[in-house]
Amino acid sequence: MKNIFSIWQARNTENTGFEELLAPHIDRLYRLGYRFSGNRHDAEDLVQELLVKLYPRSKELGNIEKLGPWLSKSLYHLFIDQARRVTNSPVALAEGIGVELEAVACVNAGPDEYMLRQQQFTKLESALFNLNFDQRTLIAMHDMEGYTLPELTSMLDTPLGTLKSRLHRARASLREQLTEKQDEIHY
Amino acid sequence: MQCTELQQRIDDRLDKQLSEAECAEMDTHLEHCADCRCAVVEEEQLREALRDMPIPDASAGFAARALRRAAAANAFNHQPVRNRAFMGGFAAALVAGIVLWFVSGVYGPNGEIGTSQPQLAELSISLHETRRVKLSFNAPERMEKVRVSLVLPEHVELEGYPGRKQIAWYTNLRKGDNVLTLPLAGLRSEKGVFIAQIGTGKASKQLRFYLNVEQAGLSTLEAEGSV
Repeated sequence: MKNIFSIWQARNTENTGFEELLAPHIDRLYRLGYRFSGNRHDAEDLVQELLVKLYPRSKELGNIEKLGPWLSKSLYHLFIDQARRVTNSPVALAEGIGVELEAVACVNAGPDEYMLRQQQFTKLESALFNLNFDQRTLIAMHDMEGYTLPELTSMLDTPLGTLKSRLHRARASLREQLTEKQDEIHY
Repeated sequence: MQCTELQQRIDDRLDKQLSEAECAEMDTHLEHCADCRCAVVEEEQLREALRDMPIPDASAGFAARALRRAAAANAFNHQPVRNRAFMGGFAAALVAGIVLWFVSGVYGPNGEIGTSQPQLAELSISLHETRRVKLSFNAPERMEKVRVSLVLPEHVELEGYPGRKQIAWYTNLRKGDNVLTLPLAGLRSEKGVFIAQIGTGKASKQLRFYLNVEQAGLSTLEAEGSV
């Protein structure tokens, strides 16, 4: 029994570096997951699944020079895979789950300003979710979370020119969506 | 520089992809063109609005919990093959039982709602392990706006929905088998009843089964110790 207990302990301590390595990145991964999915529950679920997949690769992760962008890239691919699985699922989780808007505190705004901002964000969010996966994730990474074009060329294995064209088309589609949804929008 | 060319290069300007000379050329045009100034301002405002879109904080303790679960999930996956096969087969048998019970219990051949109350099935999962439990809905025909509701026992949560013990939503069912996969995580060692209800406005059927959360480490040691 003593032997067995030692093996059990060894199994649970061989990846002690994992937490130190990944903890500083979780907040940014969650933010990106939220931008992709649009709700907290799915964002947490996405990050959790990524961590489960990466845990056995702790040693490899320690050797990655720019871990942050590498993790973002992994999260992006995981999201795309999940989105395709959901699209093909026989049971569509249609309403009431995963699509509710979260209440977000806005400490510096009065009630009227808060309501107005919420309405604007809701319209913008709705327009974003009418874009296709590629367009939405591209805008999320570049325009919302501030990943630079050089970072994205590496993360998405896409040439700069192609990336710029795709972003340009994505923003044009977003503008079209916003124009269709309202006569006028004030930011 | 013409208006068309300038407006095509607004993205490059805001993405800092233009040289100083190109920026200066653009500025010269903007000084005299109100339409292009307006186009630049609109693009800047859109980007500012996108950057400012709020993100709610992750649930309390999420980072620590997620790291802990990643370790726990992998500890489970690294159990000896023989033990894992035993656990997997055991769980599969129970899940299959639930699936079969549900298939035969929800809608009869003529679409009527069954009324019998068979003995409750029981499913065991390990503490801090996430187990994907499959419920199969067999619909006699395509059904729209079917309400699915879940009531979770206190010691279990649906992954991705921490703290929520009642979840309901509407969905469509296609004719034949429809599979709903629920990633369930055990929060503490306990046994409780899980309730799933499916129905339309006219009728509904309820499924109940016991969900038993066991200590993962103990069961592993016992299994290894019996070798």
